[in-house]
Amino acid sequence: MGPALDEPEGETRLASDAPVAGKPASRPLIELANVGIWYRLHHRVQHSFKRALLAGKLREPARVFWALRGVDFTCEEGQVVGIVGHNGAGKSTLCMVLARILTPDEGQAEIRAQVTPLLGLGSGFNQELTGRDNIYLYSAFLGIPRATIEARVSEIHEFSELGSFLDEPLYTYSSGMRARLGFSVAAMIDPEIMILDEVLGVGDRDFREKSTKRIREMMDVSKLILIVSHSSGFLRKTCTHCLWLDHGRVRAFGAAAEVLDEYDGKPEGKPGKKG
Amino acid sequence: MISNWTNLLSRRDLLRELIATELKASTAQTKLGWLWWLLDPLLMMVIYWVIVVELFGRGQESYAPYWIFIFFGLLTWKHLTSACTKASVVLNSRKGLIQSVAFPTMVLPLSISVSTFAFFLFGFAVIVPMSLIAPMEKHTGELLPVIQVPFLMAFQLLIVAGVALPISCLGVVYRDFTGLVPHIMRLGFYLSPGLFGSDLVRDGLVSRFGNGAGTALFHAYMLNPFAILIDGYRDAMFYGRFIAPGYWVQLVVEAALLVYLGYWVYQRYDRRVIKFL
Repeated sequence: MGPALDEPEGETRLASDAPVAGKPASRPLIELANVGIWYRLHHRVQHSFKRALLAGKLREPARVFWALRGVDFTCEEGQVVGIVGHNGAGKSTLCMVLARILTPDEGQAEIRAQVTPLLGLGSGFNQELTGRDNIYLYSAFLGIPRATIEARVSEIHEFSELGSFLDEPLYTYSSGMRARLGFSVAAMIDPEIMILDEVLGVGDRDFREKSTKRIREMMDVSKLILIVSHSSGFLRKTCTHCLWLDHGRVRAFGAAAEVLDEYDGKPEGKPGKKG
Repeated sequence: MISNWTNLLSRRDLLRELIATELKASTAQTKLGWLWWLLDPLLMMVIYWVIVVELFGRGQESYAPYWIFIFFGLLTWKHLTSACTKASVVLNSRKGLIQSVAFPTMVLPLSISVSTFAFFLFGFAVIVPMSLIAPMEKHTGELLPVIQVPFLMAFQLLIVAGVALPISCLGVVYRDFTGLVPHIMRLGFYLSPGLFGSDLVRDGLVSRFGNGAGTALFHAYMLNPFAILIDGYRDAMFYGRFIAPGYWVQLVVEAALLVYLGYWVYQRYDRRVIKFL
């Protein structure tokens, strides 16, 4: 267990509320300090409307499961960081924190660049609308300006290999076609920080080759890349650093080869839900 | 708070896209398409007209033609009802998206408030041809009061958005709340002057509690902004007169309060609510 597991009874403060301290010019792109995220274990917890409203945040209910706790690590520009761990170790939750989707319940997360997470591609699609309309909608969610997308619709169309289906409603699509469209829109971004959560296997073989190539291109322009994967062979080839999560805590963080040697040497931990 | 406003402003592309999506998707699989925007309020009006006038033989003489009279109430309340009902489930239904892309989730309830407002506007446009078929007998003939209508509409949109914002959060944290919303809305409609005018409420209260207490109770009743809005549309278009200046002050205060509170509650819950999805 790493030094990150000391449990300082630190104050809980949102990163956005934190004062900007005078730090050196080249600050790490990602800085997590004692980050914790809890989930409610069951839905029968009694809440009081008034109390929750007055407290201003959702109190920790009686039975919670800490998906992440005491997570400390920093990432610098130029790193490619692999994230490993058993199912339920907190990898996806960590990705959500890094993507600024979740605010930590405890500790602070500073993310100092624009993050493009390739998580759950195409999850914002509307079934009733055509592929073309969905391109505009999804890119609006991703924060790509309308003008940029208008100029690149034909490029997206071509990349997705959807042909005439582009103007058909989405409920006529197969799941592979949906994933292809989702990837094709997200692939238009030149990200500063890129987070990949097992998206490398999209579509059929040909499309997979093409998407892998595009991801490599995106990785070349990114300042920092985080990859969640169960394939330590792939991570060994790709990553400079590796983070090993175990039951929501950092088990090891360091050079990819060392951490992965240790990870591969240990028997898989079992996901244990406390509470 | 200001940084969040600017964040929201910078995502107005997204808001526009979402509103367009909702309008398109609402009619995508129907044969009649956008005609439903007109049919929906018209059918609602026919049902209430049959029940109140034909079955119960009610509908006062001063409300004639009654079907146009109730149309104002039905439409206005429908805006609030559909916005709140949709808002109470919107975060859950967009779960996958919210958990994979970082965007200000506030655009979801806001886009619902606006798209349902668009339906309201469509229905409102029907009133014009309707009044040609059935002239509004009680109208003073003055056309100037119509200028109140866009202002009433603006306040209505603000108030609905202010209510829809916290409801969308509550719908996630307290799932049971989602089931309650339609019932709260129905109760609210029967309490608001939708099927009757507020004059009926005033007369009823005064005859029961005397002049002093009855009037005080009536003022309490009119604290409901939708009572002012529905009355206001009727005054502006059905009767052709201006509403009391005090009601404008009240609308400004209530809209500001609801928008501020709704925004405040949403900001407080915002990112934390995602865990409950």
